[in-house]
Amino acid sequence: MAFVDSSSVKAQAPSSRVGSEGVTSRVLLVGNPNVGKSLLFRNLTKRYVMVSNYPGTTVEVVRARASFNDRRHEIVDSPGINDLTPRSDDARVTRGLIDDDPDATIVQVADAKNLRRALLLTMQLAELGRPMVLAVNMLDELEERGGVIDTERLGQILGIPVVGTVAPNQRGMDTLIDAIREARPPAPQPINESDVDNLYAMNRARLERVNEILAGIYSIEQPHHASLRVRLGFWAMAPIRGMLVLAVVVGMVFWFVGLFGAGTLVDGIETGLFQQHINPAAIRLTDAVLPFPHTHLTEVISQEVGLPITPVSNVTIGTFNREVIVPDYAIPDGSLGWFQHVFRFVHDFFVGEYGAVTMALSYAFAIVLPIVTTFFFAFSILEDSGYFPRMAILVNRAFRRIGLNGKAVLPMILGLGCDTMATMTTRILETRKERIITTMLLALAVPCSAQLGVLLAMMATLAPASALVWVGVVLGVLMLVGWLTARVVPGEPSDFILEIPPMRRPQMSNVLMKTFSRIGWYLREVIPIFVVGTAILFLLDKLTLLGRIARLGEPLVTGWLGLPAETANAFLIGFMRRDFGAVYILDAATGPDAILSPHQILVAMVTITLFIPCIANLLMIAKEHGQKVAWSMAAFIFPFAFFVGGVINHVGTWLNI
Amino acid sequence: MAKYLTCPFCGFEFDSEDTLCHHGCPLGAHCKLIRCPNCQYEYAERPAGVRWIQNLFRKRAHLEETHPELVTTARELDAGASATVMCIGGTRESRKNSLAVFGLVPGAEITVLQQRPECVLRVGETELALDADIARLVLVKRKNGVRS
Repeated sequence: MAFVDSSSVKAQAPSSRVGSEGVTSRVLLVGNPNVGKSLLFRNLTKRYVMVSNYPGTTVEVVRARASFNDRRHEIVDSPGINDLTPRSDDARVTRGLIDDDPDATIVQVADAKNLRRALLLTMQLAELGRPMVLAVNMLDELEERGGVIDTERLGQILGIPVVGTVAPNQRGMDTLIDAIREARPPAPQPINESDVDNLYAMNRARLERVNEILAGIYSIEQPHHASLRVRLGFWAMAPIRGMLVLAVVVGMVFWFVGLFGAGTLVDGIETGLFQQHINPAAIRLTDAVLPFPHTHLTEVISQEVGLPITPVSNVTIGTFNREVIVPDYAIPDGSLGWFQHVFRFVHDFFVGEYGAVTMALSYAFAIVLPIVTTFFFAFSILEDSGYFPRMAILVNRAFRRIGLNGKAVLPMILGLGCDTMATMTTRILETRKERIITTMLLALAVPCSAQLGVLLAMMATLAPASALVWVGVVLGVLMLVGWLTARVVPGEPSDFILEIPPMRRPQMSNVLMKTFSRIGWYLREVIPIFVVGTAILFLLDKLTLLGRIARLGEPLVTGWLGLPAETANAFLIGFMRRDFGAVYILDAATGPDAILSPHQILVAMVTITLFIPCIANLLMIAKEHGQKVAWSMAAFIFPFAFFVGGVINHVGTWLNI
Repeated sequence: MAKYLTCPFCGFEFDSEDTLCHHGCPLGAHCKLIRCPNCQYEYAERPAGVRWIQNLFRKRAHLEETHPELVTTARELDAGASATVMCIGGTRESRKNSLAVFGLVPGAEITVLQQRPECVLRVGETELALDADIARLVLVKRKNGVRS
């Protein structure tokens, strides 16, 4: 049977509806994941897209306005779901969207190749008794396979308009728009199940009904030959070839995020924009508004513009030097009046060493923003290509040992971008146990990209064997602590049942839209935390507590770690800005007057990697899991980082390396 | 001689002695219900006369002998092998439901795409990765009688 257009639902609209122009009605797109909902959404709307997170979740909901059928519509694209039962965040959001507006028309989008699963969802939606339309999308792919579907007959059985569509080339869109006007509640389906509380039994009964429906009107065949894309999809999850694909992907992402983003872009914005222009301007402005006698030091800040090739070599295009004032200043002799003290306090709060502008904003915008932008971009491309589930297959077995499953690979990868942000995305994990373990490992052993760049530069000064020791120690700690945490934290890990979507070529417009929406989310959620964290540091500094804490730590650093006393400050700074701590040590290791031996560099590298990431991350942990969890993690990580560093120091000394 | 029963829900074949719910159950002596030890489905055994009449009208396929050597778990199948799902073990209904929404229910036809590093099945047009432990709970019957 060939494809039959849904002429039965194309009845002419009654003219009385025309008068309702100006009334906005809502159209809700619902469907399984990867059925082309987003593309259909764009075909229906074309403009004014608004992306937002559904309240209380990280799930993105896209809305846009459109006019058709003489009415204004708000089109809402819900996250892809397999089951209406509100067990996952995605399903809760979709359920919420359906319940929020009882008058909304539901347009279910189905993959023509996978109609069985789509109709399971249709059965569930039908039980809600809401006006709906079924769009059978990707019809071309079904026809390519020699499959057929009788949409007219399906429409009669379901009692709703059923339209065949091919979203990329707009086929069936006019029919779909006409059908939205004809949307009606589906006919009740004979489902043999009395035990309505048993979700599994209900779904089985629904599937039986679906099989009955499909028996006479639908057929599909397996493709005879695999395309390159399909084969690439297989390679990406096969044992050895999968590892090769993974190595290539990680290498490319590392170059783009770690070298181009964290190197070139950060340099450009931090040095070129903030240090050379914004900070001096902010200092001058503050000095003009709040005058007190002081002279800022000047420094020549040089910015190198180039393209990175490896962590330690790049092609330099040019160097720009500029002599500017820096936050450090000297006060001439003679005491300040009380109001001058107040001025100085406010001055320092905004543009001092731990100032809101000179530290918090320049950190957030100049260092983290370029990194997360490149990271989110690479992440969206990988996400849209369908690669992540394949990666989860590769790591599932290793993650099982640490109480997680392959799905936790996403936050862990995000952690290599920014641990603070990754901590927030642990929300996608299903059980609390998994969220706590992942958060713990992120804070302990996953270096963020800002830190990773500096660590790699340090590694370049070491022998390859020492670099391997560093990688081995960090991975070993990750596995060991994960294994221990999995035993300490109560609860069960969730099942690893993961749909592997087909590999797709990512659509650039979609990737960009997602990247921008995530950057917006990052700015709203993370920047306040940076500002608060910096304010805490500022107060500690004003109360001269910083110096005291550093002095307290000195015996530990010199005695146990065998490092020079100067590095104590590096660890303290490392808590505020993870990369800064590493930079201190890099200076001590490779600077003009290097004071560290290779053995000491290794000890310092391990300690600073394991050290809690930064104050923003700690605040984020407290926000996500509560103060108790945050403090317990800190109480474990601080001593543990020093413990491992000391062990390496003593073992190394003992082996006389 | 033990009596063999076939669960009408999941197709599992078991010895009547294995219906464990009768042990220690105060109603055991009077209860005529049979509970499948695999899927916990409870059903009443049909009287012999009814069965005889039903057998007369039953399709040939149902009378086909069960070949125990064809029955295995999804984990045991080689990559590329196809099979029909007979039943899904375990007691966690939520897990069975998570599989059901992907179409993995008794009666579904599956093809194993790979077993390493993790088991990946194709159910209809869906490719599904499963933990080895879960794949072991999916009891299947090899298709075409081919044993590899």
